[in-house]
Amino acid sequence: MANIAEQRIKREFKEVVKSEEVAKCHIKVELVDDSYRELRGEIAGPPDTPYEGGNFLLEIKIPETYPFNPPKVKFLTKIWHPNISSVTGAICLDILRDQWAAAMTLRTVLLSLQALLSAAEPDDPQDAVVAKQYKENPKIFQQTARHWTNIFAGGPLREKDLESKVTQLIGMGFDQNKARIALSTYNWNVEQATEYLLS
Amino acid sequence: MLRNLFNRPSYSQAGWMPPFLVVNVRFNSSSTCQIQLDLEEPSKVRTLKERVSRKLDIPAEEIQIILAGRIIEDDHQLQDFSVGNETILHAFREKRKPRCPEGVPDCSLEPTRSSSQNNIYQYFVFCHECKSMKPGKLRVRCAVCREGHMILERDPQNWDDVLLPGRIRGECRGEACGTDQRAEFYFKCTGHLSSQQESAVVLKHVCPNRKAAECIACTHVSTPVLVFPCQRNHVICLDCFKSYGIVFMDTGQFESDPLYGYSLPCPDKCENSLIQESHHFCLLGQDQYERYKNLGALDFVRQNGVVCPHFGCGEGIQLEAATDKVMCPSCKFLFCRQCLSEWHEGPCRMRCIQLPEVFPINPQSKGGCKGR
Repeated sequence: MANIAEQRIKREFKEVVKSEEVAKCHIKVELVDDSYRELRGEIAGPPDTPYEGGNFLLEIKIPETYPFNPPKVKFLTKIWHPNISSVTGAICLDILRDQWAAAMTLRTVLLSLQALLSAAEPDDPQDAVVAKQYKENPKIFQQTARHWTNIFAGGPLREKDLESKVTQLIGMGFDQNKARIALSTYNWNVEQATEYLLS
Repeated sequence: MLRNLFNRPSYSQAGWMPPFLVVNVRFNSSSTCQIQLDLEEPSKVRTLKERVSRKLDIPAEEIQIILAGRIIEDDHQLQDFSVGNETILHAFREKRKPRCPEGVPDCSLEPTRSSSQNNIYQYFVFCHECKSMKPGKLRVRCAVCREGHMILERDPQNWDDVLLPGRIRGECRGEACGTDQRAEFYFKCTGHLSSQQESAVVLKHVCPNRKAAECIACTHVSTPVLVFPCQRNHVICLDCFKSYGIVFMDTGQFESDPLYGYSLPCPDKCENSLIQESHHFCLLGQDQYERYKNLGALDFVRQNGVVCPHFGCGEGIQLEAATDKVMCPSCKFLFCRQCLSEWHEGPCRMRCIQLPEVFPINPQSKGGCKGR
């Protein structure tokens, strides 16, 4: 059984490596070890989104029952997106759950994830906090997502206002990441974020 | 897929091949004579007729040979049809009238002759005698006298013609039978010699991989393969089908269908792709097939009734009336269909369905809903 999975992955790996998208640096996949059980994926943030310019690393685990069951994929790079957990990187995408079909491949998975970054589905959220912000404060959501892309994924666009608020909380003695999460969660309201961090 | 139904290339059983071919000719469904033919030179139907003529003292031109529902012509070679050792041919005596007017193209049996295709079979069966999948041969007989002296009025065009009874009629040349009778198709396993009790079930989704299609799971090209009945005809190799079946049984992903029962769709989740015949799950191996049957039966009971919750019983009970009061016909336990606990008047006390006692209850788990 594991043999089918390995054969398939070897072939899919080659497919990704030779693909047009790789040539354009849109997606990438690497082996973690020689077993083909675990791979490292990378997708570029799509243009005209707050993720533009960022590179997002993915952990891809191939189950023994592949390709009859989907690969287990999560974001290793922190990302602010309604369908991706800002804490664990877990992804809510139908094709990685019950809509998986055996004809899908690593390449189609990576391209689907890239498409998910362009088109969020806030009504089927993985991260309720992010989804709420996406719907209620789209402008703040865009800034937050861009800020996270800049900090964690190497995105080129800095959000200086947001950075100074993080610095402000660091100055008060809070941990940088905790401060960023609290501020992102409370729509960059420094008072509320501080209250939350103290509680 | 079913074109050239009978025009399959000849086969040779693997391994040792005798230098001659022994065929059995049943004459007028009464006497059988064995004819030995030399394999060194091609055996024409005419040669066979001459041998039968000598044995039975009947003029050769008055002997007609039937194979699989058709009269075969003098000039054809026996090896071009699926005639092997111990094949039974049927013969009857009749002065030959021209059977079809000239100019009608497809009234004679034209064998496809290609030596490279010699080992490609069109059909595969699950043989209960061999306990495995084998290449199969399609055969036809009279539905009344069950003899093979049958000339079909037309060739079958699709699986329904073959699998549903009574769709094709023919002329039965058996002595004790009327002429116009229903034809009955059946499959023979090529893995062993003919026997009276043929118990081979055709696997209609399994066929040779003539188009060299890749397996949807491992992407390798092999033959034979299983082709799903979806519009895109997704192909899976038999090794992957086995894994697929076991994985989906493990994870409870089989589907219940009113027409095809407990079955699997194509791994790409296409519409109308369920496997239509349950013997295909024999390909998962004998143990897994037994498991499949149990799971299928349990599923059927759940769809149409309940499983008795009494400790150690587990009887499947079909429910006809829409009542909540059920008595198990096996252990006589009287229970409520809704909460699966002992029968009670009035509403169920438990808000959620309790696990029946047949499952071990973890003493450490605290209350709460453990139901479905």
